[in-house]
Amino acid sequence: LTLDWTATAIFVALFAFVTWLGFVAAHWRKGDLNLLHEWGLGGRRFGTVITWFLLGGDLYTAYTFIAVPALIYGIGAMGFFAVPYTIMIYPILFLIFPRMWKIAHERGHVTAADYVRDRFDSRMLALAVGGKSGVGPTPACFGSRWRRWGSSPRCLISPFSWSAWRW
Amino acid sequence: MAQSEQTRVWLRYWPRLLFVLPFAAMLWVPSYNRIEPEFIGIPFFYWYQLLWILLGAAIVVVVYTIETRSTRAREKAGEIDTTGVPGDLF
Repeated sequence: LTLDWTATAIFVALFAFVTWLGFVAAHWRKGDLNLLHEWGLGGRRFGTVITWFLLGGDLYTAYTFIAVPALIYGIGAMGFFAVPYTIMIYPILFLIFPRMWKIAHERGHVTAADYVRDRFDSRMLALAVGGKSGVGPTPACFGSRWRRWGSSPRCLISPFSWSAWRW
Repeated sequence: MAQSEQTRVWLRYWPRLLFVLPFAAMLWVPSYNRIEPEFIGIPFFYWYQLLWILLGAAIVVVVYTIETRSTRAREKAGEIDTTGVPGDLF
């Protein structure tokens, strides 16, 4: 086994940078983390640039880097559905999200489940939405980790998304 | 000059019709389900979809710019108040 110095150096440098960035960010515009909207939404103080990075982090997940390439490797061009899907989802979000942002801001919603509970006055529907946002990523999680770790126990933790807890 | 409510809505939201383009292009799979013409060795099927990522983003930018301009103009005219509406940097 030979050590790849270039790869190791890049990995260590990035690891150190991200760790340093994490500690710096912990003190940047510090909020009271006992408040749910401070912990979950950064105190609703994020603007365009930070949100842009957050959306990037949402899009380029393990699904993008592992599950979709694995699917294309397995069944070929059919896995390319992910590209048109992404192209079409953005206009939809462009039309819906500013309105939803405004309502959530005015009514103090933190999660999608909060919005549904308020809008439809239904705790069960809110539980369904919160549960879905927890269970939804699970198949992708299993799919992407199946070959390496078998049924990874980490995938079973994801359904206990905190979004369902506020029910 | 008095405008009807319908005219106002049309003038304000017509750029959103541009969003039909990426849907039409991407859902019309037979139009790009082929290998030729290749681009730097990449089959048409692949580079055409990747190109539409850029075109789709460009369309969103165009729609956003037009709508923001009309919103700013209406705000200046005192028709609306956009305080607290998303769009602030950081």
